Amino acid sequence: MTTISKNTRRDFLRNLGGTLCAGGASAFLPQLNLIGSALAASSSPGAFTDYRALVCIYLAGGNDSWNMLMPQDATRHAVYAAARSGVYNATTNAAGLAIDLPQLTASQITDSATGKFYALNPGNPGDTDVHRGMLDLRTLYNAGHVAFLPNIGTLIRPITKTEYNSTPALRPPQLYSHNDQENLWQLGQTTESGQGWGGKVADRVRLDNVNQGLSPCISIAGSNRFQVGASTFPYQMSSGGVSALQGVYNNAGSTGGTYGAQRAAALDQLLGDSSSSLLQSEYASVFKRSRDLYDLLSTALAANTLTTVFPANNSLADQLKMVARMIKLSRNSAGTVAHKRQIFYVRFGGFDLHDGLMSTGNGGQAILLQRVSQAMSAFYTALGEIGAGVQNEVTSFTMSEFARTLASNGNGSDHAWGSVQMVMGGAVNGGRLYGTFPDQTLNNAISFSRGQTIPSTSVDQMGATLARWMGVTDSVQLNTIFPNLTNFATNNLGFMQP
Amino acid sequence: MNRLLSMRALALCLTCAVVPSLQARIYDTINRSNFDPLPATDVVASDADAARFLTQATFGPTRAEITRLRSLGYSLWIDQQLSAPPTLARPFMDAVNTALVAGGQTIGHNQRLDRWFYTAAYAPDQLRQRMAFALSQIFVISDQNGTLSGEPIQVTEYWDMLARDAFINYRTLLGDVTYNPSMGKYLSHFRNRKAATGREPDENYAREVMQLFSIGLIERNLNFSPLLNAGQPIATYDQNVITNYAKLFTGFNYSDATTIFNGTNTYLAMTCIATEHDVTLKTVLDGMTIAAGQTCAQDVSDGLNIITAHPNVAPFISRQLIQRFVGSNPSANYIQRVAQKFQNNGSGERGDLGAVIKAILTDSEARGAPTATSGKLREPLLRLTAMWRAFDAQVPPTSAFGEIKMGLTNPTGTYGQRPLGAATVFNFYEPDYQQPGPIENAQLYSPEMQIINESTTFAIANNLYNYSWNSYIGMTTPPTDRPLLDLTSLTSLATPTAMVDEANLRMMYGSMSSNMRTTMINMLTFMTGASTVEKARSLIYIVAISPEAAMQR
Repeated sequence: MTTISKNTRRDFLRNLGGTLCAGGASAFLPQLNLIGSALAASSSPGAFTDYRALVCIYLAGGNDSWNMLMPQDATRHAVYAAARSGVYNATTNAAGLAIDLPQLTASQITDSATGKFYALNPGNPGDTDVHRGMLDLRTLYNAGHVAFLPNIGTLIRPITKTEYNSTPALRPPQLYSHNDQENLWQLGQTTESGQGWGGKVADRVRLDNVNQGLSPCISIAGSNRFQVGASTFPYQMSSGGVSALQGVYNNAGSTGGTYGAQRAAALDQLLGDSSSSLLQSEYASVFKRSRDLYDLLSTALAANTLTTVFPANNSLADQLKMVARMIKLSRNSAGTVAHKRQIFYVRFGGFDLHDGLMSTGNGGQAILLQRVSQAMSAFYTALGEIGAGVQNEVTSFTMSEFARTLASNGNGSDHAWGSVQMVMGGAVNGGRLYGTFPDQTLNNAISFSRGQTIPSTSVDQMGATLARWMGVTDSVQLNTIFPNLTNFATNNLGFMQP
Repeated sequence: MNRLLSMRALALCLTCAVVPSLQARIYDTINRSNFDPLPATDVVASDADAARFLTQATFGPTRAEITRLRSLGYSLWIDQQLSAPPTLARPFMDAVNTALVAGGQTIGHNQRLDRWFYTAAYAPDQLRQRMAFALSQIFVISDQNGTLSGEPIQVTEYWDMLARDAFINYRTLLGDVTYNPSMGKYLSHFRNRKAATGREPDENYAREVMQLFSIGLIERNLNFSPLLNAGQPIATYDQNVITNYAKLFTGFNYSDATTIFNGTNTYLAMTCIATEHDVTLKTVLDGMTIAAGQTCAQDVSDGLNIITAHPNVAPFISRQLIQRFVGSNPSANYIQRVAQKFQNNGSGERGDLGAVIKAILTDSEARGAPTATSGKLREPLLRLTAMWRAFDAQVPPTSAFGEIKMGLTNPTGTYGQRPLGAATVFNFYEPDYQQPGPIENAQLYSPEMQIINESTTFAIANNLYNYSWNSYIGMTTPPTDRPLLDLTSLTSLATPTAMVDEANLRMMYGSMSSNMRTTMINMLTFMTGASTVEKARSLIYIVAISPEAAMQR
């Protein structure tokens, strides 16, 4: 089988050119027909001397973020509690979705921009564990490493409630639908596209990555639109890393038994056969890419372990641990990968809590958010283990298709719109909120009857701020990645240090 | 009987009508070495044609089924399958549970999955079970949800309901799905209450029953193309319709409940508690209204009738069923032909799912020669079941509790699929998924590709390895928790060429390309000194993981 040698950027470009001239296809870069435009738009080679990575933490199902970040002063908490059908009590108010004010003391935070008090999800009542609820993230917030975007969502342009009611064309398409809104969050635009903003950023910042055989976009959570660009397609691995293919020769350490070489030769021949069917060709191409990268990653991962303890029984922690190991091996400029810019994607589900939002069990939101908090905190610690300054090189952020109705449906909440999202990293200007926390009165000027909130900040603004930090500083490029960006007041929300 | 006869007559008409387009397609087709032109009769022209049909219609062709299909012809074979009684799983689960409880144990989803694999591998009602699998990927519930993770028997009953209803009228199926308590729990209309102070009805089922189970988000023509207004698609409903349908789906509880809170946990269809049902007027799809003051049953019936009557249902459901059985990218005409059968089965009935599946499988596009865009990636789990069936896998022993272990209790981890166990209501993959790159650039769809990546290609291959290489009759210390392949059909053959040709028929319905055939013959030839068993195992494994066998065309 072929193995990937450590290519220089020059080799990459030359090889691309050759492939383009030949009109052939590469297993490494499945979208070569589009590479020309991507190269034209790319950053200058040699632009990046440092390492930087984004980690997208997708909270699937629509996180009810109104119970992730709550106003903690008595006045606004009362508004919040009223909108949420009162404080939850399993026996006296099972329909209530609000968390009681006294319970929020331990998880209180202060917005350093306004001086107002908020609280993070405090975990289950009665739990005294120091890592309960989102206390770990509170610690990072207080250290200035976490910021919140308090009412962010999909938008074509800023929209008033009057405009919403009078002009349907101004609404983002298919509001309230899981898969459609997830797509809009990931695409960075409100019209159909196969490409996401992470992939489009990667197209523009990948040229200083030495080993171009490994995509700058790495998913630990399967396929997604976010990481697809014109010349970038995510490499997809599992949180367990890579495993050898059984029964065939992989490398000197994994020979596939007697006749493993014959079987490998046949398989590799079949993976290289052309087909008139694009489905079959694509299957072969993905399989071949897996063969090609196995050797590189199995060796590199074995040499890049971590001692930081990640929480057990936490699939997000498992994924983030693999991200940390990939960062450790990738940022080493003397290593076999030697990347300068990477974008990771992980995913954690279970948030579609039409039922059981306040459950204290493993399916309830408190435990889900506790897992998010503990996993992100362990990840931040692991970055510190990798080396001094690495925490400043990696910025993690959450996305989720929508927040949910403030009003209760009896024991949960339904699909809504504007939401709260988090950004975490040493390069984050943390300890504060960016944007206006919404008035939570039901059916006010920025919300509808069940407390579906109209966003005041666009996904595109968050994405552009992160893209700029990754090195896409040119406004023209930002406006290309996010076609609606010019409709908003600023393309830099200010939550990232330069 | 009348219905069967008229359906048969219709099938003949259909064949007549498609002859011109079929001929046009044949002229366009090159490099066809393995298929004869489709005869304008019901005759199955070759073993390879039979195996191809059975790859579409069953969990994998067997030699015995190939023979039976060839003697019956397509139409009679389908008719027999349409009337074959369902192989039920819930009574089996009940019996095993009784035995387990007597032994101080309890049943779980592991037993449900074992039973599913057993049925897929061995049940006679193959088309019915395949249809249930297809329907389970449209009308999704999942044991990954906390409400169902502890309810293996109830979830099994949901499967049996899909199997019983596989060829029934769509409206009946939609009603059974709506009243099923596992669906009620999964999409949370179970114990959904009418509005009161501080509480509005749950919108979950109201949304997904329209977005995923019936009409989808935008208005469509009979051939599935979007209806446009000034160049823009037209939404089928808005949030107000959701809110109104949410009111309609209130009051459901267990069959013996007398309030919204009591009742015995059961798989029986839910009842509706009148005092918790919203009886206000509801304005639903296309401005239609459901009168105030009706009973819950009348409301639900009216509401589901309105959804079912929407013209989107026929193309929306037909296209997804085609994608599950035949191809990811059916032509607009193919969708329209099937949707027409949905609209009218020939006897004036709309929504006859038996007629729909027959139209799908007998269509010229399913039976004609493959083109570059026809076919689909096989669903990963069906690659395993097909391998078992191709090599007449031996049934594993039965445990003291009556269980038959098939070995896979976490198929998601390897195959990305788990029957009634998807990650979300959007199934393992979406019908509109387009793999970025050449597939999307060609404006093609590739649902199964959504779960195929660098990690899963290896995981699937390694599992197929374990279930072939390490699971065959005659091996030293064979595993007892899975079927064992019978290699004799290959080991009895003398030459690499004969072995490859037999594997080609059994695993690839004779569709193996000449390049691949050469590669496989060479592999066996180069295995100097290998035993026939070693060659047979190598051949099965490499064919099973090959790109050509990952496809069905």
